[in-house]
Amino acid sequence: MSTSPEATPACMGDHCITCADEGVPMTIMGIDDQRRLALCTDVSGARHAVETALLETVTIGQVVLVHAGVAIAALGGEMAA
Amino acid sequence: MRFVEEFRDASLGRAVAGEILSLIEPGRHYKVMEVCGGHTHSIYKYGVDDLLPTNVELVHGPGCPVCVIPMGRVDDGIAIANEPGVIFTCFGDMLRVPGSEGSLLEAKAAGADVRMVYSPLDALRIAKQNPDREVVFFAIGFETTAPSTALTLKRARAEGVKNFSCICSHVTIVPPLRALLESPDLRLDGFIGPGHVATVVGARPFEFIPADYGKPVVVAGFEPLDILQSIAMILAQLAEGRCEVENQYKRVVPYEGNPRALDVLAEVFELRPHFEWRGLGFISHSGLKLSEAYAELDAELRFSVPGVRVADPKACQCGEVLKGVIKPWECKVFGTACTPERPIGTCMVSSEGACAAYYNFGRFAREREVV
Repeated sequence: MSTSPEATPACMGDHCITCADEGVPMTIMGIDDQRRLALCTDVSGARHAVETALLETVTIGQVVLVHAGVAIAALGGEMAA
Repeated sequence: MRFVEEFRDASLGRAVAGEILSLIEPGRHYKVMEVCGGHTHSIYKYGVDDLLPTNVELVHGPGCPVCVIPMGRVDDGIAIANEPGVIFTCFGDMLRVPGSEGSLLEAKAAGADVRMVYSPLDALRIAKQNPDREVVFFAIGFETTAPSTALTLKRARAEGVKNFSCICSHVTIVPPLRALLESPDLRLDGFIGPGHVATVVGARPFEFIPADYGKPVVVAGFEPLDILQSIAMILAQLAEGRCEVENQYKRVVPYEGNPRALDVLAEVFELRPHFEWRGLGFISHSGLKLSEAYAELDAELRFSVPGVRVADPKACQCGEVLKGVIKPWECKVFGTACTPERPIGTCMVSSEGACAAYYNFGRFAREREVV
């Protein structure tokens, strides 16, 4: 098998760039309520369109946990003991 | 970013390491399993194990979604990818998982239209952009990723996208944990519970571990302080003679999970009678398939798939690694014939795989003598 760019390990940063099965905290910068989408930025500043249908409420500035393009939780509900 | 930097504070880390030291009983050997591959990755990335006393051993569990996919399932995906007119989509690390006659990446090199996506929603977008092509998404992952697939399928049906379908290899975490706990060759003292799966399902599904097997569970986050604190919480339970499910990751995980996500999972998926796990064999009610209502979007019904069980290569010891029976560097081909560039086994493919974590962070051999 040849070693193409896709075949090299690229998972040394905070999050694996190829595997979407990773929870990534992102900050909500903009909200499209009608389409249940939010514009979010991750820790590196990269912007993502994120599905928010699984959250009851979303607000600008909120940090959410994103898995495979979908926000599955809002962070900060109760800080760790 | 909030909720990230404060959980990487080195001085706090040293303080929690000191607390761990104060909780251990001299002469006792502790084995704690981190269930989730994301924890394995964080432990080696941040050197968490170097802060632990030598008699606290971390055992790596089966919670890496790519690592548990058997070869036959990869062959099924490649068979669909080779169908004329198909655009086959999957997460990046699935591209390199070896099937019996090569990987999806090799199928792509041979001419199949295989594309990497970050989300199943991207696959649906490709389907809408290519109405004359059949677009198939290879859905893998635990309860963390399954809601994303479920939402995508709901959206595909609502928008009437007829050329989209999904080959579902989603799995659930509780059945393999029960199988591991029944295994006679594994003695564990406690579990670091999978924080992101618990975000969806809650902490309650793990209550059977203390109730039926007498082992403590601490649902944990993925930053280094989260992992250290969860180990301290497990050791505190053992020291105090307690045995329960605790939630270290309260900033994310509600004890009852995410009800909206659970509703969408229940609507779109149903349990398979059994599903094959790499290295663990067939486990009852451990895999998901599309429910009757979504059968029209099931790629396994739309296309012909071999559905053949394929044995792992003889040299590969992923099964023992996934069960925590051996460390990655004890595998005969670790770092020689099997590397992230040319993986033989799945544990070397994904960043969440124990072998890839050991290889990428330089753990080529035993560095800590366990007491």
